[in-house]
Amino acid sequence: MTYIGEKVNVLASFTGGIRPIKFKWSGRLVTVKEVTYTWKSREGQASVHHFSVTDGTSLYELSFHTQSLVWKLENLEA
Amino acid sequence: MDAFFASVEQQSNPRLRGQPIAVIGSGGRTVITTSSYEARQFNVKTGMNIYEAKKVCPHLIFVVGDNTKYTHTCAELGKIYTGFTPHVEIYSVDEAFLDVTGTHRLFGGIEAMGKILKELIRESFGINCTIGVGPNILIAKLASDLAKPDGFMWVTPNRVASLLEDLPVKKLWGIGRHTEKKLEAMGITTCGELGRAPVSILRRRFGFIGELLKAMGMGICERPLVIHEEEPKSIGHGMTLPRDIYEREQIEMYALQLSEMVGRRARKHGYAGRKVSLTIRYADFHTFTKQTTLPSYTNDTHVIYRSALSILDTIRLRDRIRLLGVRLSHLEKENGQMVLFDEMRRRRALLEAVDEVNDRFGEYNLTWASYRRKLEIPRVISPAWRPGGVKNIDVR
Repeated sequence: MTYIGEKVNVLASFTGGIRPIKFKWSGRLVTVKEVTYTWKSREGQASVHHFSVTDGTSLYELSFHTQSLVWKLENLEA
Repeated sequence: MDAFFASVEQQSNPRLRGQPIAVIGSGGRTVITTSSYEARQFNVKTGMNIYEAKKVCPHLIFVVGDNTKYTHTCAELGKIYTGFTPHVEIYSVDEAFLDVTGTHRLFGGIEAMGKILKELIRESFGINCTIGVGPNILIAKLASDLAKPDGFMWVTPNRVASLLEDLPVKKLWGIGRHTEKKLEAMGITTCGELGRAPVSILRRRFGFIGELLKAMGMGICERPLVIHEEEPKSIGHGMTLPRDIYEREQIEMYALQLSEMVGRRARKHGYAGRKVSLTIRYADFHTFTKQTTLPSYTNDTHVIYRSALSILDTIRLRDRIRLLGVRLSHLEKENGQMVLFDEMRRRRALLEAVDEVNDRFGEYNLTWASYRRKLEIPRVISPAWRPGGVKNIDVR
């Protein structure tokens, strides 16, 4: 995996848990085909939700910080 | 869980599924922490270094583990278990004991319950587990070891003796290579032989453990499940350093970080201790611990650090240091006693302020500048790690 650590805009569903649907990165729109794994970590009082997702070609790791409400693309395996 | 870390990584990354993979740490001195069953077919083993593993399996894929994935999954698994019984002991990050004596009928019996639990774990995380059922945890653990991977084995009380009769003693939980060798020297190689051995002979060779060994050979184990966290006897942290060090300044820097980790955890859970120990492992793996007793109970980082340094002053280092550890023991629950002196009051206020900032924004956001530049965040899940309480350590 290559570390990216960049903020990204994500279209997500918050019904019955958080689920990223699409996100914009590096000028292109990535459609999430499968969320392969989810986990949570803590950063002080905030929870950070992590998502391993794939668009069928690459594997991305997204994170969502519950206090700053920031989505990040953490890692990428092209 | 079967090959837990590797299974989680294979589930996370579809490209790794069905491949021989090994999970490694991110540090320079890393070894294999777990490998997938595909890799195990090539004799890849936990503890091997990268070169050893590549030798036996040239196409092995190395994956740097993400401990937050595993600790989170372990905590979530704990929630699933409590849906089956309130009597759950999380034994390690990938093992748990469940006492289902009073609840299995609610799920249609032992086998049906096992099936439901396995299915639920597979649905929730996409990973497999093996379930062993027995009249006590010794037999249950043995059954799960024998049924791996992705298995289920129920050993009823009347099957225990026949299962153990020809089973090598090393298969029993708690019998390591050392004990196995000693037993072998006495002509005992199977559990059946161990169970029949005269207790007087075993006691003479192993002390009071002799009786326990005989009972184990007979499939008897009276260890109850540890459901509620026991009072900790000590709070300690150790770290294998990124490189072997000899310079005093470097040692002090790591000792300060370790003292802060110990002090922080003690303060977080309301403990103070009177004994500070310093553990040193030289580059040749020779390891020793020295300790000092303090005049009063403390969880002050600086007092712990100063005590660790006072121990270091008594040691004439004969080699470079590979591992350093600091431990606070002789613990007592803090009783909220007032601090008399101004200086101590200021120190306590400072520590409280630092703790408050880190509680809010995350560990190591505010810390001592002297180790900030070489901060080593814990990256190893110790066997003592638990999803909650004083044994819960934030690992990355």
